[in-house]
Amino acid sequence: MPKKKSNGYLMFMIEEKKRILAETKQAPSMQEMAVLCNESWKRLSPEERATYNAMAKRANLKGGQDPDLMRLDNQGQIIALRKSAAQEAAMLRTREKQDLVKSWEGQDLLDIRFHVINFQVMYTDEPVDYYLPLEVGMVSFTLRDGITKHLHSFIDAGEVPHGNMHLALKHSENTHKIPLSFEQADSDFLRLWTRLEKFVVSDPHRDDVPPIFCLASEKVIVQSCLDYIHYHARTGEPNIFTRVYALEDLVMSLLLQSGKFTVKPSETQIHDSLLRNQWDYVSSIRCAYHDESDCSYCSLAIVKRLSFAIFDMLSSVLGFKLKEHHMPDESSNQTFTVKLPSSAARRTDTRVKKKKKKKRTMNSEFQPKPAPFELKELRKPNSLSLCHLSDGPNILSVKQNSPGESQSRLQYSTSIRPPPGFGPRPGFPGDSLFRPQVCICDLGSVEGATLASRHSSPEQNGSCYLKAPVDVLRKRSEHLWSCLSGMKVIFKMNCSLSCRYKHGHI
Amino acid sequence: MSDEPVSGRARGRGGRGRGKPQEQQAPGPTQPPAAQPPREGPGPGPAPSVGRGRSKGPPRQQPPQEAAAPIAAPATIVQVPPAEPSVSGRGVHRGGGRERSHASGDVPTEEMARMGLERTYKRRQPYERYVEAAYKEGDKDPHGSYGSKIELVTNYFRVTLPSEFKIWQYHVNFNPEVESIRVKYALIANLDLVIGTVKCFDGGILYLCKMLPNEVTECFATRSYDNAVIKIEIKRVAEVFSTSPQFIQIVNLLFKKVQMAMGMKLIRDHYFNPTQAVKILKHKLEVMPGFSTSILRYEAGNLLGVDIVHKILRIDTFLDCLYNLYYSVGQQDMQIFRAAAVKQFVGTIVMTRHNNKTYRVDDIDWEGRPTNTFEKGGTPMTYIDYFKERWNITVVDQDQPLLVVKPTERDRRRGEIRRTFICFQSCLSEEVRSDFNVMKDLAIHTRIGPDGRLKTLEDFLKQINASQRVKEILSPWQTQLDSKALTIPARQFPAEQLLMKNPKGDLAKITYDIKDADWSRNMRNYKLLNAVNIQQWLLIYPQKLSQPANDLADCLNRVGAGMGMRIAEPTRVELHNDRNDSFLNAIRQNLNQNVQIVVTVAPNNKKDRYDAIKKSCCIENPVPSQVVLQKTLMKKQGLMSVATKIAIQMNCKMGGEVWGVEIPVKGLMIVGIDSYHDSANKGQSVGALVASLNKECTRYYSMTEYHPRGNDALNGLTTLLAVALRKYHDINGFLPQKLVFYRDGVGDGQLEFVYKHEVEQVFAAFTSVGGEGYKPNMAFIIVKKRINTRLFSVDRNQIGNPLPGTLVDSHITKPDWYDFFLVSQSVRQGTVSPTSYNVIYDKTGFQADHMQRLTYKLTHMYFNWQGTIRVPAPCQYAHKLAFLQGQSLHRQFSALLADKLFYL
Repeated sequence: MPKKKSNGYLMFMIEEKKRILAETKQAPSMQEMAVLCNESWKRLSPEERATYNAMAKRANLKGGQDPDLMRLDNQGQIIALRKSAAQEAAMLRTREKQDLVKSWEGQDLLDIRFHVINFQVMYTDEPVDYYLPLEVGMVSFTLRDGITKHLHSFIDAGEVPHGNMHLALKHSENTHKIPLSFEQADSDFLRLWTRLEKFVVSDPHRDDVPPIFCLASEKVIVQSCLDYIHYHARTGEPNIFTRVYALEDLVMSLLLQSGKFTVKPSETQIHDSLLRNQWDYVSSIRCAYHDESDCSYCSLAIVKRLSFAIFDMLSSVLGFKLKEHHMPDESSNQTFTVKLPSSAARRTDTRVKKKKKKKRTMNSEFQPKPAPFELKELRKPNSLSLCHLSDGPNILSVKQNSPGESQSRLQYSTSIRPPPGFGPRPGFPGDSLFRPQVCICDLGSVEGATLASRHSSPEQNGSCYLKAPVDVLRKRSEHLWSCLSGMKVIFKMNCSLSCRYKHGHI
Repeated sequence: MSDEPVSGRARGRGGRGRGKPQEQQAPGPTQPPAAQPPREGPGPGPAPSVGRGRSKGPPRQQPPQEAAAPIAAPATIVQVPPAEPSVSGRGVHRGGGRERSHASGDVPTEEMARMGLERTYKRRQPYERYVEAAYKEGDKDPHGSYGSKIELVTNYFRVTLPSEFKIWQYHVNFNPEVESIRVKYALIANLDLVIGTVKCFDGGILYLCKMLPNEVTECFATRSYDNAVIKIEIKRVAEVFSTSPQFIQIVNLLFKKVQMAMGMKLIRDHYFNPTQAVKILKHKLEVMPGFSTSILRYEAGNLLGVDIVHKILRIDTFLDCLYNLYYSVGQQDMQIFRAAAVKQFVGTIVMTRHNNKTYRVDDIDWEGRPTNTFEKGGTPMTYIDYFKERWNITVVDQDQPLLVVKPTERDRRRGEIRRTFICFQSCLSEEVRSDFNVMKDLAIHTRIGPDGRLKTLEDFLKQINASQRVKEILSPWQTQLDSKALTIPARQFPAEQLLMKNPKGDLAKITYDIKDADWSRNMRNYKLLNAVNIQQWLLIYPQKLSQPANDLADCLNRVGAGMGMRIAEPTRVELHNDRNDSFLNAIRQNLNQNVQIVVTVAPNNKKDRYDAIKKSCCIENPVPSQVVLQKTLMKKQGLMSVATKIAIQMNCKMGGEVWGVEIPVKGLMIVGIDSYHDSANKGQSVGALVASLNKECTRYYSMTEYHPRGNDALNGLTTLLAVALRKYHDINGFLPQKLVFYRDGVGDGQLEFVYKHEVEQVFAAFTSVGGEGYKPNMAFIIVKKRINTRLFSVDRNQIGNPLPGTLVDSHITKPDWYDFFLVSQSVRQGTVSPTSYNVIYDKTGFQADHMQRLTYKLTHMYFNWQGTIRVPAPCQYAHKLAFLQGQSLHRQFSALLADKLFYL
């Protein structure tokens, strides 16, 4: 029990007790004192009481501090010396970032080689001591050239540890779908380890093995899996992959290195941007097995997706062009046939006419009507500059209810320029587009920050910045709000939108 | 419930309540930090504690009785009634613990007061937590008067407590300390000579009807297993009057005793009746009826609420299942059989019948045999011996594999590494649950109509009152139970009028038959309130589904015409295969700015495809989307009605309105809040807020946030609400003057927390949007669907379900609450379950009538169902949204969709 806090009355009582003891040679108990001193305490002047109070305060300070410092928790550790794991991890990552940036000195960022790794493991659910790798995927890229080589292998991690069958089955079913005894799995750990080493460095005896990257959340898994393979490889050499860094930190450092940011971009944003679902099911980036089972949890596909996301985020900031190795090959999978409605529409119309005369009278009422009140109101943008945000590509604009509009898409696309933020961005082969997106939950991290919003416009060759303090922006309106939230995702470009433009209609 | 500390509640409590007693009897004081609750004597060892050998004719009743004996009282204390241990529920144990500390804290309180310190100690009264906080604004009358008056029967029974009666509460202290609650029971049971037979003991507190002569009574009892003499101090603490809430708690304890006396068995939380179990041999299942009961104070006095619950059990044992599989797989290859068994049985839940506990099978130990040994109290012991000795169960098949169960978090903290079991009776597995035919057969027994239900309940109470044993239990406490269900007044709201448009395009009112609360036929000749014409849309389907997809397009066109919604021919995208990738590519590459909606016809409900499509359409390329299953389209005769429903849904997803109701309040905003856990982001829950934007409450703005799971209150409510308010302002040009919040998904225990946490955030949002001067009137209503209250209508002695629109706001409501029950939905089979509404904050100035009618009107506004639903529509919308995000999206959806009901 912590020491009881003292107070002025207690101090007074103690003094009184001493006095009584000195006078009568017998000390009353504190309980008795409490009654005895009551009256005399009340008779004290405020000044006198204040001195006692001050005494108590001092005693509290002196007595309260030391025991607190030495207090132990239930593990027998001194509480004051306890370190928070989260804080430690954050500090470690800061050091890693500094380390990274230092190693880049004097090099062209675009030519530095990076390695991204991912493991699919047997299970992750419970707090396990070690993770059992079932699949590894790794890519090597430079920003300028894109992905140049990749490594992929299934790993035979042996039998499921006793009692974990349920976890393993569940994890496999929910994610990577790798069967428990898999014929493609490689059990030659030495060969696998050599492959991994060779992939990252030509000579494993060199001192400067570059760091390998993975998502911050998977760092423990990657380290554990590397240890596992290294242990089973029995090379006799130490594990060269001592540095496993967070991919988020890499992106953050690169962004800051570009010199175009005065304000630190939000880490959550980067994380979200890395984990976009855009290429989840692109078949060309997956391994054969996962392509067969149409599963997105393929180590190879994951590292490639992460790399593509990095290219997409950084290409404009660091000024490199996206070439074929910077994007998944989606050309081969034209797996559909499009049937445009024009003629078909007429046919059905006539059929309806023949079959149901009553319906026809209904149909004749389908003259263009004024847009319903609510819709109009809802879609009225608040301020001009923000038009494009409320009239996004998929929100019905009021115009769409007018006749003739739908008949010619071509006319639409030539006469109406897409609003800024949705139009094609010149000077970039993929025509990446910015897409506003709201992440309300993330507000804490931007508050008070200055935000830069890029609007594409041909005149300024694809880049202009808009800076305003958040508070100012926020006060404007909700549209601005959504815009503002969109701006947080400064680096999100939408290749899927761009694909639309490329492939079909404009 | 019987004795072993390994997984019992008593154990957990021991861990929690541990503070001082740690040193006293830790036999191995060498490892103090390990949270090893002290355990006395040869209690079951660390490893396998539970299990019953497979024996084909299992002695089901016997084990518990036998079980109590060896541990608690073999030698000296002989008359341990087997019923005793389970008299008290968990809450009471805790209460007991707390109470104890209070009692001992009384003295210092007085001392402090004597010491003259000015601040008087304000300690929480014991059992204060049973007194519910009042959530009622001053003297506001929570009763309304609108609607025709009717009478309803409830599932409540009056409990008559003595008016002038008091009992004595004692604090029991054991010296040396006894940790096991069962041993305590046994020891106390020995003291009949001193304290009499009429008692109520929960492990810490002892209630007696008489006053013991001394303030502290000291007795001695011998602990059975080691013959240790334990000193028992019974200290008088307080008098409890029959009018106090604490007394109701005691009556609850008594009622549990009553159920035991009726020969019922405790499984988890409720008492079940093994004698009335029905076996369904076809599916090898057994349905055991039981009752959930609670006695609480209501407006009409102390009432006992009873409802029927069912336990579904398997008749065959796990080993039988294994044998079945073995024979069906073909008996040559053990490897194939094992693989099949692992696939089928690992992950299922089994229940061990000797102690009625459930476990998840984590693995099967094929090499293990019941003859294997484990450490028990330091000595090795075979499973066979253990079961024989501990449970008196003979393991017949000594060649069976063992089931492995991983220890839970709590077990691990106790230092338990692994548990193994022998095959036993298993519970209803997921596979069975998803089997439609099985559930249909079960429903005969579990889904009971109102007349059957009421009859069962009244019979139960009659039996209780007729039983002599029950009389012996209840009469010393002067408590009586009615055997006739309580009849209460209620009100019937008329059918609402719905606003739609007639063929000329003018507003028209349609009504419906209150009996069905369904207007799918009534709205046939009317047009949607606000139809969105579809000029351009994508219809994506795999090649082999081109026929149904084309039929759908035609049908949509036709039904759309009838509803005033012009649906043009779609841009058809025919996929060459049905891979996820093809679907996504088709969406991306054909989407342009004019596409209003993407309709996908999917061959089956594969979750990853659905998730991929929704992710693509809600996050990356914000566009409303509709996925239609092939199965739905294959019902040939019903394609038109299917298409009608799909068309309405599409209309809503694009921002249209289907129907409206008249809500005469100006400047009103309705907000629905619900939360759902995210299946991908561990430890996170999605909180969804849906706010109405117009007077008719037909347009909504939807947002979500993430908050840590377990903590049910939303953290980002301020932000969400602020955005909604700004949106409201943009559309209407003014901020709402009145807001009504409907909050779903809050349990009774969290009421206080949610009230403090969320209402505060709401005020913060007001200030952030409208500044200090903006103080709208608002009401915060907790919506509860899972309640045990049932209502029955009586029509010429015919018991039935009350009609939709039935409202109860008296008698069975809480005395200090502003709450009401509303039956808004209509059910075709079974008993209807009313929804409880609890207004915990109200400054709107609405009378109770207004609030009730508003709530009723809002149950009409769910556009995905042409009828009334159980909860106000904004709540249901919020639930849908949270569900979509928690199950499929796993992150924030695009803000461009926020003003549409894209998640319907």
